[in-house]
Amino acid sequence: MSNDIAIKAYREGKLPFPDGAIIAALHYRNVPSDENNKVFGKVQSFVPGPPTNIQFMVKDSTKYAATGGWGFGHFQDGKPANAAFMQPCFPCHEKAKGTDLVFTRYAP
Amino acid sequence: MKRVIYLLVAFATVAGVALLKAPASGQSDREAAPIYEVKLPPGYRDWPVISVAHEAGDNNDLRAVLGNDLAMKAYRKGTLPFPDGTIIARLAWVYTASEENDKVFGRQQSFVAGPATNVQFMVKDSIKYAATGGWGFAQFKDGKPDATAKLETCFPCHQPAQARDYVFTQYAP
Repeated sequence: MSNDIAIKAYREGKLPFPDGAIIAALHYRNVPSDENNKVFGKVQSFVPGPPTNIQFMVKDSTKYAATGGWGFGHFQDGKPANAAFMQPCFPCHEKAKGTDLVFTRYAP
Repeated sequence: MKRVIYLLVAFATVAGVALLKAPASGQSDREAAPIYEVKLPPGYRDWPVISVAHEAGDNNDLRAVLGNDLAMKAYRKGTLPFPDGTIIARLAWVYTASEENDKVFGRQQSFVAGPATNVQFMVKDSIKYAATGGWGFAQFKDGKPDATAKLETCFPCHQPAQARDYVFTQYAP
């Protein structure tokens, strides 16, 4: 999901994302749905189980100049992760340099 | 009798669609899907997320279920049945391996949304759709009512979810 600034940039194909863009990743366990599978008559349906964590990328080209303009956040049960946990975010996202360090593409 | 009229209207709509080529201006999104006469709700792609799912098997898609304000309010409060005016949208895309992501992770593990398949809607109107649990069903493909959709199968299939007002998808917090 994302805020209005990010969605607008996604839809217009605007890169880099403008300051103020925020992209959120909500994560859940991947759980088979017995209820749905019963309806389909076979095991095929996977739905969100318990939430695991929520991650954010926040664009501020001045404040986060050292990390490609992006600040990274990771929350579990509403509480932030410690600094050490956040170290790998930027080096890993650098691999998506061609899309302003953002892996996720817009699904129409 | 009402059903016959619906079917006639549906037939006329489909026939009309077949004769009139969709204009490039995008006006095609105002065509009503058959039987329930549901039109593509404007702005649905901006609605909040209710949940997501992966259907393997024949569909093999990734899907996102979105809701309009009335749907979201009912979901978050646990209101059942859903009030009239509720619309639930199901977007789906081909379940696709992401080579780009897999390269970063160093192994095959990432599946993302590929090309869009179709978009389905459930529209609540307890009077208009009294015969089908208060729900009208529709399927669109590329912004147009999907002529291949068998909308008459929607309601019978949704019956097992009667306890949740015929809606399978549960809210993911």
